[in-house]
Parts: sequence; structure tokens; C-alpha cells
Amino acid sequence: MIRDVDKSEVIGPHLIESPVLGPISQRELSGGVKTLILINNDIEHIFNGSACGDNCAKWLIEIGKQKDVTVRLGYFMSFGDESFEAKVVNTNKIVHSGAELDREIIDNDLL
Amino acid sequence: MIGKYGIEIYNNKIHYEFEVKRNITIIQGDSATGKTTLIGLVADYGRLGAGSGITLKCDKECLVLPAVRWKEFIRDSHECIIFVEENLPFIKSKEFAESVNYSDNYFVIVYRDSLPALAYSIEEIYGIREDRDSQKYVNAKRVYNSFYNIYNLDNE
Repeated sequence: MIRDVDKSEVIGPHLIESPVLGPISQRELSGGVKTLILINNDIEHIFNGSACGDNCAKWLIEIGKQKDVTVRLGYFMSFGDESFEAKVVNTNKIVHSGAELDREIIDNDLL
Repeated sequence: MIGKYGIEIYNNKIHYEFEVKRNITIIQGDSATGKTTLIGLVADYGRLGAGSGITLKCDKECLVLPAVRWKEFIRDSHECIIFVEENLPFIKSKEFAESVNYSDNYFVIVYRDSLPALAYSIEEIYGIREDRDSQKYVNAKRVYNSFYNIYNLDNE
């Protein structure tokens, strides 16, 4: 995820090499990738998916394939053409694509 | 405060150049595009000035909104460009909207969710991207970033 989203390489547990910032700590990773890491590793909390840009969408789908996670999302994240299964907790509707999710959000005035 | 203001801010690693045209500019877009880094540069320059190693060129003072006593900060700042980072808990509040709407400052707000209490133009919602194709920066060691309209109304 760090390589894909931040274009950075993990050198060690406390060092990441960024092509723009140089050697950085985990703290300087993007908010999106830090949120993805938390979503993937902490199932006790609900994290704010709005910290994640569209380039994090595929990773949210990937995490969702491995485990059930609940995420708060406050904008129309673009999931592209990928298929996935997600439950919109506000309405209990199961959706299978970004387009279905967007329709559910619009029809129920969720944003 | 009215009019357009160019902002150029850079250090030895990264460079931003953009223009704010209205009282509210929104920055959104993909993760890891430099939104937080931009705010960090403005904050570091505000604390240390030229001693930060950062160059900031703008006709108006550029500031970063603090997380505490932010109402007083907005009230006591005049004709400045105030940068607002996305994690601040009060961004969607009515109080923040009132402070912004009655202020004579310009605001650059990093936020993906909608802000219905704020009156901003769809034309002032931007993303940040690396300026890879410019012939000016072919052999540059510094990364040059530019702003682009998220909603390109020219093509519609």
C-alpha cells in the first residue's frame, strides 16, 4: 500500500524512503495510507475513509475481501469498475459497485 | 479582500505555485499528492521565516489555522490567506462557517467532504499534481507541483 499510494519504499520499521521528501518516518506518510493501515489492523475502531483519496479505493476493496471492516465515508469515492460487496449501514442496503453505492447515497440523501 | 493572489512556496525538495482567486479555495484529490506537505511548508515558514529554508512569495501574509483558539485567530487576522488542514474537527461546524463567511481573509481548505455551510465555487476546487511534462523542469532535482481544477467545466 505504501509503495502504491505514496510511491515510497519501506526501509525498516521506522524508516521509509520517499521520492519527494527523502527519508521519512511513518508519521510523514500520507493520511490516506495511514488510514488504510489502521483500517487493516484495527478492527475495533471505525476510521474516517474521507482521509483516503480515490487512489486508496482499490486497497479498501482489497482489505474488505480479507475481513469485514466498517468505514465512515463522507464523499463520493471513485471505485472505478471494480466489483465489491459492501453494506451501507445507514440503509442496510448491500451494494456491489461504486455506481450502486453512489445511487444509494443520492437516493437516500446520505451526503 | 478581493482579487487574485499568486502564491509560490518552495524549499530545496519541492515547489508549489498556484493562484487563489476567491475567498474560499478547496484542495482535494488523491492521497500523497502533497496537500499536507504544502500546509507544512506554510506553517514552517510562518514559524521560522527565511531561516526555515523555505521561500514564500505572496503579496498577502499566509498563515495556517491553529487547532485551538481558531475563532480568535480568524477574527484577529485581516486580509491574509489562511490555510486549513483537513483533520481539524470543527471544519464542518456552523461556527467555523460563520467565522469564515464574515471574515476578510481568504481561506485555502484541504477537505474532501462537502462543506454545505460554506459558499464556494465549483471552479475553486483543486487537486495537486506533479508537473512532469513541463519542459521547464526536465532535469530538475526539485519536484514541481501545480494545481488543477477537479471539475473542469471547460470540457462540458
